Amino acid sequence: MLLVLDTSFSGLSMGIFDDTNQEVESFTSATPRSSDVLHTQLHQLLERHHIPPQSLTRLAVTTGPGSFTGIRIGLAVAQALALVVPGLQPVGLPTLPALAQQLIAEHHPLTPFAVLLDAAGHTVYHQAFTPHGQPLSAAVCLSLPQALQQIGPEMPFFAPSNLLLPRSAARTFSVLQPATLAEMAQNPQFHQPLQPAYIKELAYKHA
Amino acid sequence: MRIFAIETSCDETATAIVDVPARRTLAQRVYSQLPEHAPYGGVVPEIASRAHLERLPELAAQTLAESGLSWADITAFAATTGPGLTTALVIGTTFAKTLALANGKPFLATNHIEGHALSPHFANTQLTFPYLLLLVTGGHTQLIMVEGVGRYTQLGTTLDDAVGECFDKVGKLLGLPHPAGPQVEKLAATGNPQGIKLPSPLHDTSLNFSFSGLKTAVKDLLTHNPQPITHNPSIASAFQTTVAQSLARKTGLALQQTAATQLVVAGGVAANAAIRSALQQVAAQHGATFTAPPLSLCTDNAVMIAYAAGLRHAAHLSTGGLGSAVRPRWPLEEMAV
Repeated sequence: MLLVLDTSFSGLSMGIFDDTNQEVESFTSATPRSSDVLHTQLHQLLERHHIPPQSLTRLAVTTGPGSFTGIRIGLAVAQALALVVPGLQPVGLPTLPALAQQLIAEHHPLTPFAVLLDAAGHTVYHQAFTPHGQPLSAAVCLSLPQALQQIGPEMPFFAPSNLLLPRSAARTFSVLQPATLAEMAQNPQFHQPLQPAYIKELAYKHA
Repeated sequence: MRIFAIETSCDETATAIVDVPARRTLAQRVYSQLPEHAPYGGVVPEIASRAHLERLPELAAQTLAESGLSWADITAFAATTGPGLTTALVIGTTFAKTLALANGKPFLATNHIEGHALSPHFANTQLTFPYLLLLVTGGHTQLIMVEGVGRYTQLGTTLDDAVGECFDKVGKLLGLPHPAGPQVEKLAATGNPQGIKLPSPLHDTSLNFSFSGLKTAVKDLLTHNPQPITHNPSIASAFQTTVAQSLARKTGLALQQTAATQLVVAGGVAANAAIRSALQQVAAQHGATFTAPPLSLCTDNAVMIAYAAGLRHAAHLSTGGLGSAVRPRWPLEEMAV
């Protein structure tokens, strides 16, 4: 049994998949702070299908970039489960490439495209991809005007629905679909260690 | 009943397994994040949260191994869900909820102040309810009547800075490194408070405290004193004496008003010997016994969280559950039955 989990931006996305990667059930919510319901939803999901947590064999969780707290919530769940469930194989999945995979499946872009995520404080995480999902650049954190300048006027881009953007060309998304994560969990090229991707610099100054 | 607990409300990452009926610590780990925060001169919430996530898996595994138990031997899992730094509380809470869920055991959402309030009861088997508690930490300065598990009456609190916060800020003014509070006591040891005039904080008949004026008075000394103030042992001594006298005076009033026969001090500032001594004296003056838990239970730790969670669980009091959200503000009175 595979558990997939994303809390790396505003909402919550999780799902259980069987050994043939068929979805047993999933849960998504774009509501802010929806990670507060993570454990009750996961508990109910497992109970409904009579799946003991100890029978999980694989786990895939997004590692960001995204909300610092959100990333940590997902990783804390993964690390605690790894401690308790014998033989569980946890893997990390990068958030922006995961969104790229989902957007390719939904929109079939014919040209390179960019993905933006809110990084708070008038900044965004940004990464560009080929139509096949290969990264064209590393994920970076920039001010929104800088990111839009880097993307350029021609490249289509996607952003979460709650991010206010000056360009109407943007297409929006609200959650990462569990099925996308389950598919990526099958592909070792996406696997990463369970380490948070903190690519935004901290603003704190030394005393 | 064996409770596995996690404490991540501020800058200590702590885990423990406690046999609650036996009042026995089976294993515990505490990681102090002092080195991470020292360059910033104070606790940085984001750095605290990162460190909690980095350390928790290892600490939890070590705690279980040290106890000689297996996960199946744990009765319930607890975490501090408030009060504290939101982003820090989230880490311990998420981790403990997941352990509970995966083991099919209850999750007990636990109040950090209740942990402190009941820690003397864990440490001293002679102590019985009710007792008067003076809680002195970096975030709290409260006089509380502890009548039993879940039965607390706040008699007084600080109107501004907590006493530990005041120690830290004054220590910083004196040029001491983070955490400056404990360094003040060391510096004060060689000082002479005579001749240094500091105001006596909130010298009234209420049971409340106020320390911001005292801090400002020390700051004014810095501005007006022709001699360098940094690392000045006499100012440190005068400040510490004033704080100890203020705490002792209000505690004396509380002993008088409540006719309590047992005085207990808890929290990190309870480690200060001058304050302990002043409280010991005031307890003796009022014919009350005096108890201070060992230092390891005064500073933030998971043993007190496990114990408070276990006592509430045994008494069938509300302990939240998997749906409990963290509460950065969570007054102890809300824990009342």
